[in-house]
This record gives sequence, structure tokens and C-alpha cells, in this order.
Amino acid sequence: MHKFAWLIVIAIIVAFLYTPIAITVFYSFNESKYMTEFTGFTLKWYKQLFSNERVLEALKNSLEVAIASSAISTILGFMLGYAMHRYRVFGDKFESLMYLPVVIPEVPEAVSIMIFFYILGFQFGWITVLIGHTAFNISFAYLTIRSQLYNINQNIEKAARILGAKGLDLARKIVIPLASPGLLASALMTFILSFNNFVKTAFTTGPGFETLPLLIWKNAVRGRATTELNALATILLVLSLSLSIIYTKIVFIEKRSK
Amino acid sequence: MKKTGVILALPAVIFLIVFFFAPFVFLIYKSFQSNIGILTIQNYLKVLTDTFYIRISLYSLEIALITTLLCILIAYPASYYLVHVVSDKYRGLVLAILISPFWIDFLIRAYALKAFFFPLGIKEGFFTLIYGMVYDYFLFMLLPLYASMTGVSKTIINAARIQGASGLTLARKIIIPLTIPGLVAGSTIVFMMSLTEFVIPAMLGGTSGYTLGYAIYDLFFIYRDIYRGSALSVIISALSLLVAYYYIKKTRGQGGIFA
Amino acid sequence: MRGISLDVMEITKSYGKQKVLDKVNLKVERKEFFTILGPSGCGKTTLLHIIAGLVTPDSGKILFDGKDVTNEPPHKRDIGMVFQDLALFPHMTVAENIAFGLKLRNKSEQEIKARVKEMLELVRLNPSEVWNKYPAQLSGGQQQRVALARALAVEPRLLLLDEPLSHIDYKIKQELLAELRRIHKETGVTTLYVTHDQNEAMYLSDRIAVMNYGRIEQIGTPEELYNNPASLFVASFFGDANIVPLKLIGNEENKILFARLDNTVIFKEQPIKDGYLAYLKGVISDKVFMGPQVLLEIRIDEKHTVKTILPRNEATKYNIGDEVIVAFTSEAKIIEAQ
Repeated sequence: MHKFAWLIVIAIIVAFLYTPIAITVFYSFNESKYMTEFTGFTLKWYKQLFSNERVLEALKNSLEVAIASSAISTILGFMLGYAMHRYRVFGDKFESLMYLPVVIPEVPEAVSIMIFFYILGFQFGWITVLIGHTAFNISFAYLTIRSQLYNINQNIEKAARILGAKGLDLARKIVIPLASPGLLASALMTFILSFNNFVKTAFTTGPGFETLPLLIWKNAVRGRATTELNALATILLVLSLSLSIIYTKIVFIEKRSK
Repeated sequence: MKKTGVILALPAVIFLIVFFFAPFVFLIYKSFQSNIGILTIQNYLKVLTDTFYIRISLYSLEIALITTLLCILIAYPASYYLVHVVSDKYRGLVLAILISPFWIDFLIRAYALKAFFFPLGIKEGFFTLIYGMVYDYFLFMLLPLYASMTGVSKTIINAARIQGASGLTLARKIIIPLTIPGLVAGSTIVFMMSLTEFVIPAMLGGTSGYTLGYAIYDLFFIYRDIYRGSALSVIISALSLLVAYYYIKKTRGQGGIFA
Repeated sequence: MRGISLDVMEITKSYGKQKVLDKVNLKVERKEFFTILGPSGCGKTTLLHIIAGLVTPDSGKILFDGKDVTNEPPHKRDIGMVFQDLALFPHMTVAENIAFGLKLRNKSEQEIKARVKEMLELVRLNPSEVWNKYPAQLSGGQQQRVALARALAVEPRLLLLDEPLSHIDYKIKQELLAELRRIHKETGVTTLYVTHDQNEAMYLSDRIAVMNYGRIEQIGTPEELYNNPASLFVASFFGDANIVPLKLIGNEENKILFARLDNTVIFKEQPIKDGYLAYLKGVISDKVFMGPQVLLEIRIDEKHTVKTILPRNEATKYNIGDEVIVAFTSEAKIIEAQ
């Protein structure tokens, strides 16, 4: 096929992916509350969002849960990844088990943990949401970090040991610096998975604990799109896309240096 | 030495056992319980024989199938372009452009589509539902196909060209047979995930949005029937496990989406 | 630098059912340059890793200067090692790489700086030029030198080199071989070199151990191995040789004639002068120009060819298709077939 024809094919796919995003962002600056027509440029919906107590509370909740879940899962994921990499504590079968939280559909997984909390009498709220998010985030963190560790040349660790490094020195001076792109990638990914998560949150939250995705859901599921919701979605879109750019940079820079 | 390893591994393993694997045991237990607490298989029988659930299962299957086919249709040229057409310099950039939207959560992407269709005057229904599904699952088809496509070397394609193959012949005789593993992997994962998708049908399906995922949500939150809800969840999970097992077996060592 | 003697005693190692090392014994003298030569998969790298303490043997002992170190971890063995892929720390500069072992030995800042500079000069790298560079910014040959400097910086008692030149271009390889010889002479550190390349082994070594299938076939100086190979394997692996079943000449079954290329000569007609071990008839099947010399290949029968080397002007007398008499000088040997 001609190079030009290919360009058109790819342009169509890119348009398919980005037009909805662009339209959403565009209409978030619309003067009118609804989107039937564009009546003029304004930032008032953003101002309104940032003066809305409920939105701010939800933003705070989302951030707290996402940061905590990202930190816990990246640290635990690294410890597990290092244990597997260096000490081979479990076999290949275990590796397959780690894929389960990634491949099991979210709805049954969310339902199961809800029942679990319910039977054990947990108080539904931020702690149950955090646990719910971390349960799948650990797997993502582990798989990301494990593949990074796997890519580290084993001889580098051996060279360091021969030169006198052991235990903590080896982890601090060699393994963690070399695994850092993986650690950062894992932290970013688990953050965004938690920050944006809707299904798990919906099933594990309790009265009074609301996150931004829940807020959008409640206002939009059966209703219409509104300019204010567009503004909120735009903030989340921009945040996600910027993190994805950072992530891609890390992954590509790391690949190039090899 | 090994002891240090076990100590390092333990926190994550315990966390997953308690908060991922144990809940599934509870789920299975509940699915075999009646509302007065006796063990029974009634919940399964009810779900599996109820024409209502059979109907929405078939409907969900139809949606999943159409979604899978459309994803294949878009992802094939895209992955071919990424591997064999675009120059090395821009490959990373194009890949990043195609992958980036998938960092946005399903719900927000679904909302963005809602906000996209509304000003265009397109009514929410079957079309918008399918559009949303393809929009959301395209990447899960693209990545395994892309991984498979990198295995088809330029030399093979050039050799086929010199022999006289071009266009569709090239696709049918060379490219598709050589990318079957990626195709199978991508199809199973897209099919399975879209079968239980719940956010997109709810947000974009309008009156056509009642699918399996939604049915589970309703069983828990509207009918408050956790027993039948559990049974339905167990059935879907078991099915996914089978598919996941197959998927991992197919993609191990050749760069599946998480490899 | 200090150089120790090394004893490898009855070392055995298996991975699963596969025996990688089978009762390996060898002794390396102080300040010696000793090479383990063998094809890939013969167990030579495993042996090196056992000596380094990276792998624990199933049985047997490793002695440094007569002291048992079999159960000492690598960091307590005070050795230097250069890996096949060099294993430079990609996140550290050249100076940091070389200083790594020194820092762990709690040397003072000044001492470390001086030592790093000294090492860079030893391996003939310009300190001010490479000091702050990262390994990825260096050429292959330069990386090689940094790896060597890093290994030598800690004043090892024993230097282990695991095929360090196997991925290097021919010309740079020749250069680095000369450097290795010089550095060994200057430092006098006991060196154990592992390679599959007989030319490297011949060039560098005081003594060589030829290994095959986890066993040592022969230990000796390069000359001993070349002139008196103990087995067919050594004969064919170390140096080019003609190997001809003796039944082609006489009736002796299960014996083999072994002749180096310079012990194999050809004539247009049966020579009058006697004293050759054996004669064979053949036809010249190939003629290869190799610079000052020409390699001739002579077909004996359907299955066997022999090779010989002639000076360029001699070779002009022979053409492909010529019938010739091949003679083996008295230095050729008759050995048992295995």
C-alpha cells in the first residue's frame, strides 16, 4: 500500500481515539450548561468545581487512596519481585497466579471482596476502598517490577558481589538504582489505576466516602453530559494523559539505553 | 539466604491471600447458600435456567463478539503499520499516541464518549454501546497483535513480495498465519473482558445497555440478592479463569500484553 | 600486587541429572597466567564461578595459598573478575565503577581517587577524558579496559577472566591481547583465563588446561599441548591438524594418524629420500590464499581430506586437480582412536 494511504488509515484510528477527548475538553469551556451549542468561552465551570466542597472532598479522597495504594503496592511488589528474582522463593506456577488479579473481570472480583468485608464486619469506607484497590495493584506492581528486574544483567549483581557488596549494599547501590525505571513506572501505573478506578470503588465504598469517578458516575450514568461534568472529566483526562507521557518516557529512555 | 527471600515475599503474598484469594472462597461459599443459610445449588439452577439471564447472556455474547471482530479489523492495519511501515524514529511516538488514551479510566472515557455523542445528536443505544466497547478494548487487541507482528520479519514480507504476493494475498497467506498467536491472545482477552463489561453499557447503552455485568450490579444493589449474585459471579469468574489459562499458555514467551 | 596459588581439588557439580564438572583437579602457581580452554558448554564458566564463590560445588575443595575457601562468600575471597559481557554498572560513571570495590573497603576519598587514576593509567585510558563518562558512552575496547581496571583496583589476590574478548572485533582483540600480556607482567597477579579460542590461549598463557564435557583432558604449556596432545580431542581442538584413520594406509584398525599441518608435506612424485612415517595418494581439491602462505586441501578419498601449508612461491607449482603424494614427517603421531 502507498505510504500516503497508510497515513490516512492511521489518521482515522487516531481520530477515532482522540476526537471524543478533544470534544469533551472543548465543551468544558462552554458558556452554556448543556452542549447543544457552543455559546462562548469561559472558565467558570472550573471555578465552580474548585469551589464545590463535594468535589474537593472527592478529589482529596481520590488522591489519598491513590497515593497510599501506589506506595503500598509498589513497595510490596518490589519486595516480592526481589524475593523472586534473587532467591527464587516460588516457582513458575506462582508467576501464573500473579496474573489472576489482572485477568479476572473486575465485577466478580469487586463482588467477592465486598462479600468478604461484609461477612467479616468491616466498616465500609476509605480503608476498604484502599484494600480493594491494592489487591489488584500489587499484581500490576509486581509484574512491572519483575520484568524490570528480569532485564537486569545477572552478571552485574555478581560483579558487585565479587567486589565486596552484600545484603543491603547490593540492594541500595545496584538493584534499586537499576530497577528504578520499573519502580517509577509501577508507582505511576498503580497511582492512576487507583485514582481513576470506578468499579472496585463502587463495590467497596461506604456512606460518606466518595471519589471523583463515583461523582461522575452518580451524575452521568442515566443523565446527560453537562459542561460542569466535562470540566471534571477534562481534569482527569489531562492528569491521566500527562502521567502516561511520563510513563512512556521512562519506558522508552530505559529501552534506548540498553 | 532463602529465609531473607521468604521474609521479603511474605507481606505481598499474605495481602493477596487475604484480600484476593480468600474473598473468592467467600464468594463461592455464598453462591452455595440459600437465604436461610442452608447449602444448596438452587442459586446456580435459578441463574442457569432463568430465561431472563439466558437472554442477557446471549445478548452480552453478541456484543462481545461484535466488539472483538471490530477490534481485529482496526488493530490489524495499526499493528502492521507500527511494525512494517512507520520508520524506527517515529515508531515509539505513534505507539505512545495509540496507547495513551488507555491510561484514562473506562468510566471517564465512557463519559467522554457521552459528551462526544450528545452534541452530535446521536442517541445512546446499540451503536454508541458498541462504539464505546471498541474504543475501550482496542488496545488489548493491538498490543498482542503488535507483539506477534514484530515476529514477522521484513525479510519474510520482502521475500513474499518478490514471489509476487501483494495486498490481500500478502495478508491472507503470510501475515495472518504468522500472527495467529497474537490474534488468539487478543481475541480471548477482548472477548472475555467485554462480556462482563458494566460501565460502558450503563453509561452509553441507553435502553440497549442491560448486559451481564449490569445484571450482577443489579442483583447486589437493587434486588439485594447476594446469593444469586454470587452464583452469577462465580460462573463468570470460572469462565475467565479458563480463558486466562489459555491466554497465558498462548502468550508465554512471546510478549503478551503484560510480558 | 599479591598473587596467590590456587588449588582446585576434585570439584564436582551437577545441574539436575547433568554432570557439568566431573572431579576437576588443577593447580595454578603464584603469578602464573593459566588458561582453561574448551568448547562452549564444557563447564569452564561454571568452574570459574565456583572459584569465584558464585556457585557452590557439590563436592571438592578450592584452596587459595593452601587455605580452604570453599565455603567463603565471594566478597570475602578478595578476587577480581571480568565477565564475558563485562557487567559494568550502567548507572555509574567510569570512576565510580572502578571505585566501587574500594569504597566498600572503606578507603579514604584521596586514596580512592589516586587508585582510580593509577588503574586508568595502567589500562591506558586517559583519566581526564573518561572519568565522568558512563559505560554506554565508551567504545567496546574502552569498556573492556574499564572492566579490567575495576577488577584490578581492589588489588585482587587472583584475577578471573571469563571470555572477556569474545565479542570484540579482530583488530581491537589483538590490541587487547597485547595489553593483557603487558598488564599481567606489570602486576604479576595470578590470572585464570577462560576461553574457547585457542589463539588467545596460546598467545597469553604460561599453561593451559583443555576441558571437554566437564573433565580436564590435558594440562601443559602451549608447546606441550601442540606437540604432544594427550587425546584426539586435544589434538583437534588445539591447533590445526590432519587426522587420518590408519586403515587408509595400513591394516591397523582403531588407530589414527595425527599430523600438524607443518608435519604434512606434498610431492609431485614419490620422494627418494625416506624417513617419512607414511605416504598417501591424493588430488588437490582446493587452494586458499592466506597472505604469506597458501593452504592446500588434498582429497584422499570420498570421506577424507588433508591440509598442508606452503610458502607462496612453492605453491605456484600446484594447481587444483593435480595428483600428488602426501607424506607425513616423523613428528606425526599414531594414536588410539577413542
